Amino acid sequence: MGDKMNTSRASLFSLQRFWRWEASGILVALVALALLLSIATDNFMSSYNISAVARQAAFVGLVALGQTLVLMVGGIDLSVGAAAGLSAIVGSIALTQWGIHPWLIVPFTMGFGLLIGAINGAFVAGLRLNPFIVTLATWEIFAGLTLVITGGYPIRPLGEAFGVFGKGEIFGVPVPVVIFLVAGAILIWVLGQTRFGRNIFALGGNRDAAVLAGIRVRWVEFAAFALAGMFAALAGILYASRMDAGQPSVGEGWLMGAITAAILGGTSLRGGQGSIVGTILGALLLAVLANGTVLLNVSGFWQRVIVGAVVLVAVLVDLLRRRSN
Amino acid sequence: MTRMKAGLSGLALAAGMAALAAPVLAQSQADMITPIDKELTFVFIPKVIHPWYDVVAEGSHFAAAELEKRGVKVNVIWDQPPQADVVDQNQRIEANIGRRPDGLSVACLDQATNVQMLKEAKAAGINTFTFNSFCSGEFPFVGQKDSYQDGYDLGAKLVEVLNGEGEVGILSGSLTATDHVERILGFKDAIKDHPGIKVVFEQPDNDVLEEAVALTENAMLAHPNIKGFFGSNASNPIGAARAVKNAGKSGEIAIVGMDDLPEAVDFVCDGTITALKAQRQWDIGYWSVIYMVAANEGHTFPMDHNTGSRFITKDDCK
Repeated sequence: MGDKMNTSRASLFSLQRFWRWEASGILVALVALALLLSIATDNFMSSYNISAVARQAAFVGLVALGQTLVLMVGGIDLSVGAAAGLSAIVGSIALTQWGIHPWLIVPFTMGFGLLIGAINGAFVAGLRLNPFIVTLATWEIFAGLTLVITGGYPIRPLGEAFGVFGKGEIFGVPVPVVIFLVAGAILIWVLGQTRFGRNIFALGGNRDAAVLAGIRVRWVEFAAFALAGMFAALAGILYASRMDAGQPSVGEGWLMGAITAAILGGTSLRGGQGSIVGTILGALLLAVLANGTVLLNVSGFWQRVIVGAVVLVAVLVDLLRRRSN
Repeated sequence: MTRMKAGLSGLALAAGMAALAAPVLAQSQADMITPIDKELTFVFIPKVIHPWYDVVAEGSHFAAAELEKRGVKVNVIWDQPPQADVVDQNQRIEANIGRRPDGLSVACLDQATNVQMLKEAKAAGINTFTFNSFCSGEFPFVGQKDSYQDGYDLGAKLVEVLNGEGEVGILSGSLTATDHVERILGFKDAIKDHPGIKVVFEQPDNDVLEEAVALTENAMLAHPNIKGFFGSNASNPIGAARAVKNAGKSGEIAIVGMDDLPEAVDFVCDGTITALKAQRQWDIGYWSVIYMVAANEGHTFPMDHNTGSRFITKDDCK
């Protein structure tokens, strides 16, 4: 009798712990949606489809990882989509015209992304300008520069040797998915185990307290924006590799997806709160949702309504969870 | 012995010839046709939700209804991206490869990346077609292939209407849409031999009607002597016409542009738009379905069906 009570208490405790976790709602939603789609459609669980969904989640998810860092410090980066596009173009030019080795293109492009992200960081952290306005401006600048450089035309072909980053597989798992998960794991470690990670939470939670605690808040904020640029660039160049082309308009639709994935995953728009696991699950949920609407033949007119409704429900569930905690 | 050898060689030769001839005799060309014994699913993926594609969809559904009378059931699915976003469109192509339809037809939004996805669809054994905007000779295409010529024709028309004199503006649509870019090239080539025609304004409206209205208003303010506008897609002639009509300048400023959306045709009939170059969208939808059925049955079909385009002027309103 006592054992039974202990077991049920332990289960209740585990359930409460799960409910307190920022990403609990999104995980439940993801599992429920996947179950529903596997029953309602013939092809959802096919290996091709699962692979395609995971790869789609990886591109927007990488952008979302950077966005999560920026949101955690209380900022926002509207330029990530355009940064992805510009970086992909610069990386493609470096590969096809400057003769940089295909294996060096990914780190080269990430470095370029870090640089353009640092521009945002310099304005926001260095000059204390509003991140919304700064990144709105750089969004236009990056997108415009992409068109100036390309004249609207894609840069292609990028070659088979470079295709391995976007089209290749490691033990059946698409390379972009592996890179996404590794990047996520590194960020989980950084946020949980390093001083920089703790400073990000401290800065986003209470800027004044962080200053008083001796945290170099400007440096932390600067680094968050620079890293957001780097992750956007990584997504952009991996997508270029997947498509064998540096496409000027790539990344245009990634901004909303990145913010939505982060918010769905429990990242607070006010800063100081967030979860990398949550963002990964958020990106997966968005990809499953987009895939499901196609497989269920949902009209294009309704698709945006559904995505918006899912975000609203997730935010409401998050509100309930925080109030009950 | 020699005679025996010769006899054996003759027999062997005869047997060989008979073996070669046998399959030819047994095969009728009708045997190459595979009867359709199930409902066929065809997926169309346009560039974006747009009234232009409604007419293509009408043609596709008409073909499906016609085929049903013949006993061939076709389920036509239109998977329309809410926004003209390359990544979104490629995701849809990828998701539809997973669905394994009997035919897939895509209006290429981006030549380079779409081709990669279409190759994957073809490799997966799906009958892969393209429509509306041409992207590769590797896939059968149904639509108006010569966007450059459309731009050229509209340029020549504007030169004719303005008698080779005057300032003109270009609403360039989306800078990454190949058909818009080609039409602008054609337009510029058509006016380059007429030094009296001067391009004083060229801005992208991103295929958004409201932007086309605002840009035209700005162009008229900045260049009060502007005499003509060229619209590179289906939305921007309407946008230009709304702005010109609101300014009370219908008939004073000539507008030429693409396609025959109902509002654009109304503007032609009231004299605000001078000329449109209209594509045969209904035919595009109709023939795409017919060819995808043909592909499933093992029939031959054209790799390139140019549905062409035609001028629409006030004469067509009678």
